[in-house]
Amino acid sequence: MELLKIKNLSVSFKVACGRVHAVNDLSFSLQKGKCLAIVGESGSGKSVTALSIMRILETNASVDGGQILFEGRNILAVKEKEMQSIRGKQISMIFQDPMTALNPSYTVYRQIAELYKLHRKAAENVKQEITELLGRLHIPNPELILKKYPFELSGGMCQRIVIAMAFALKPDIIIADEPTTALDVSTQAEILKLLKELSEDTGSAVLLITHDMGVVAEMADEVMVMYNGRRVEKKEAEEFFRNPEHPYTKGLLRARPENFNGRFITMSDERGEIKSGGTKYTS
Amino acid sequence: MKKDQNKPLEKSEHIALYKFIHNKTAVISAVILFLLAAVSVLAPVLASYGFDTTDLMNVRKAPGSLHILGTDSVGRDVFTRILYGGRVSILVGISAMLIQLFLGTLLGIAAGYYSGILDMIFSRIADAIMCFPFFVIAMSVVAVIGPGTFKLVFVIGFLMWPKLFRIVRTEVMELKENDYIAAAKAMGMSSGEIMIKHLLPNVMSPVLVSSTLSVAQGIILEASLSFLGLGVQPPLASWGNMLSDAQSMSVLANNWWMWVPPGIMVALTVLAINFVGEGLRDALDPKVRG
Amino acid sequence: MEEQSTLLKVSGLKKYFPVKGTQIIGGKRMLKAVDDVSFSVEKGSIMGVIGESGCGKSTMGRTILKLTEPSGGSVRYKDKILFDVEGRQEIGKKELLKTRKEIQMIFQDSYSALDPRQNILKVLSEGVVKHKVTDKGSVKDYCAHILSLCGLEESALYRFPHEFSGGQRQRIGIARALAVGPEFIVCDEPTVALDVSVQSQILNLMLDLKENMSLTYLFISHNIGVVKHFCDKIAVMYLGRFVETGNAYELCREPLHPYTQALLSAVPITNPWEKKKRIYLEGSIPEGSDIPKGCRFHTRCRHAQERCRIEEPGLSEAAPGRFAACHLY
Repeated sequence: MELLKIKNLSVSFKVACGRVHAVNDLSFSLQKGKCLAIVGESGSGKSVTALSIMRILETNASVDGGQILFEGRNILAVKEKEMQSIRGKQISMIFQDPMTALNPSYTVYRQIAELYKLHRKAAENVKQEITELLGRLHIPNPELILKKYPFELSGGMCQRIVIAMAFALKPDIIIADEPTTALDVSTQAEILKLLKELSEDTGSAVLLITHDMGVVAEMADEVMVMYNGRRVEKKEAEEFFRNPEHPYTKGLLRARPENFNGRFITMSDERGEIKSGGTKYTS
Repeated sequence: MKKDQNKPLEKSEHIALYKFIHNKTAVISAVILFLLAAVSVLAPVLASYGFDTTDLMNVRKAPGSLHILGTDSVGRDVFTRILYGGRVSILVGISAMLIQLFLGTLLGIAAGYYSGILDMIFSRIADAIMCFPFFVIAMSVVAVIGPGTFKLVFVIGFLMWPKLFRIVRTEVMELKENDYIAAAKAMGMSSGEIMIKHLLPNVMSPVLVSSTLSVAQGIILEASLSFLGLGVQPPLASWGNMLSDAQSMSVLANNWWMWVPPGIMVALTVLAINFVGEGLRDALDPKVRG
Repeated sequence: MEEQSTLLKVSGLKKYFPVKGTQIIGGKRMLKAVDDVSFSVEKGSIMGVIGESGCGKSTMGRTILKLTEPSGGSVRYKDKILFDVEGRQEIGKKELLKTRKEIQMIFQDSYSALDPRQNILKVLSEGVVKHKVTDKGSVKDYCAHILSLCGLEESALYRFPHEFSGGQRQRIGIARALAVGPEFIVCDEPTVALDVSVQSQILNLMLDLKENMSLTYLFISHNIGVVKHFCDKIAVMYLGRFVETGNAYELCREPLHPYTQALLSAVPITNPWEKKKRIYLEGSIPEGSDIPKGCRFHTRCRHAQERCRIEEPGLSEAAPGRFAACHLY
């Protein structure tokens, strides 16, 4: 079942010398309970896509066209007030940097309680629910963690809390924007395992944005490659790794450091590195 | 890398000059500033009266053919006094700025870069100066050393440096964590070279903004201290003491020519200096395109 | 590895930082960022140091270069002693300046590694002029030549750092280090901030330069996939100390220390059909100011025994050419 369907989405940014088209005529859909990985290099428009689904684009960005259908409703046309009740409850987001995603002056408990308060009128059993929630994170002393402030926790622990909060209200879709980029490999492995477990528990679909093919291999059911704000290729994960079709995808897969033969393999079409990361300017 | 083939190879100093020249506001302000200074310097040539010549027949005369900007309460020509006053005010404002620029930047960079004891000592001195009410110190210092234009400049400059010092110090503490400082060290550069070549250029923007603002402050402080009788001594003219002479209800209400012209001059100078400062800041910043 | 002469010898290197807010009562607590590290680097080889963030690998690199004051130990470069804290020896100012020319560094964050106010010519010429690498008239040509070695055009000389992409800035960083003609370069995670395809380009550039200019690298990284292929020897660092060292390929194929095993098992799979057994470490890394007694890894180790809680194991030869700091071997 199609949970989220994006049709011909175009997003552009206003900059000093004209407009930068970050997303160009992008269409794809996300199935219920599945994990779709959006892969691309920096500047490919993958994060912008995520932000437009949440409708939290920066003020100099504008959606130029297209539709984002969530359960058949175009959320681009929904009123901001209604959008607020969708965010967090039906679609929630996990950011790259866990340290800045939490409010430094709130304890973990208050942080999570706030979320419940926001989306639910009745406040009973919140404490119990929060303890239960943290119990699922495989943290040794959940009660102890609740009293702490974000700066007292490690990056991995913060990201766990952020993930717990994202899943707290059992949303239909979780958008994870590079959730492990800021973390070490061993923490990354744990976080990915947790993400998998929780999405299986709650049946949430995951839209995973990453540039790391290893993370894709671990997590994704489906993979979509983006380049220059456009969709290059979209496939089932296994098929994607076995038979990549597009030259860019092939290059991306070959450029991994594992494929070493005296030299590291670079992209087959040696693109000149352009500062804008390949985005095109029009004035 | 394709774009720059048609761009001539330029040295960064030339680019800065080019950018400054193409900044209209900054250039106009610089010209105004230059004119103000020139006119003040040439005051004896341009003025048809002496700055202390009183004309008791024409007291509080409105502007007319004899006195272009009228006369003040003792019959001195306002236009003449504006010209002479510019000498003092511009001198005081700019030299006070230079003193605080020198002290604040030098000590700020040193304290921020070395931290430790040096930072402790400078910071405590700065705190001490800042937490005393300005006028109390200024008055007691002037009372001890006696009034006079140059003494005034030193007092103002010396009392204003802690503000700039603090800005520079915080900025440097942040800057020195950058890897280009480590790279410079690894290259074998001495602390002095690092401070001059890497830290100084990078603290220039806040320093320029803060110091242009302080010129205005200097001019106004000179006015206040002159009013208290601690600054420029009458009958010597300064825009500050012209303004303070006009501080009475009846003058404000009936004799606008006594306070509007010096007021405009102060505002004009301050604005021009601010624009020049902003222009300099943008010209020196490679990220701002000309 | 043509020549087997030792270029750099580090012994017992220590770097402690005072922990803030503990000075008043009970003396200073120390954060042991680097705690007794010894190794040597052969001329013409690439030595890799891997470890998780906060394990002290970057601090180690900087301490070797004397960018921060060492708390203990000694570093010898060729026949010169850069410092020997216990022996109270330190290199003279003039000598240090000469050595600076021979040891250079490439940084992780190419944004902060270049002075935003300097154009590339200034960035490169600073060291060239300081060390009189070439005569005054030909500085510009020399810098252009170095840039071209690093794959950039001469026109880049008059541009500023913000006008370049991350990969290009890293090339400039490499060019700056190269310009003074070093023999030994400490590379502090030079490719973390880059996209995979750009990472490959930079690593290849470094390999080319190493071969053409007979350089020696100390390569600090947390990317095991890269280190495995890029380096000849690897040291694994945990809480400020090496827990395992050995030949890069062998170490990655068959890690000996339980920590190395866990670290390698955490590397993501390359294909969805690949099966991998994960070792999840318990708990989190202890603070550097509160290092566990005995083996510093025992709090998270699956094989921890009574002995591990009491006695700290040293690096001992566990297999030919392979050293591990573990009581299992």
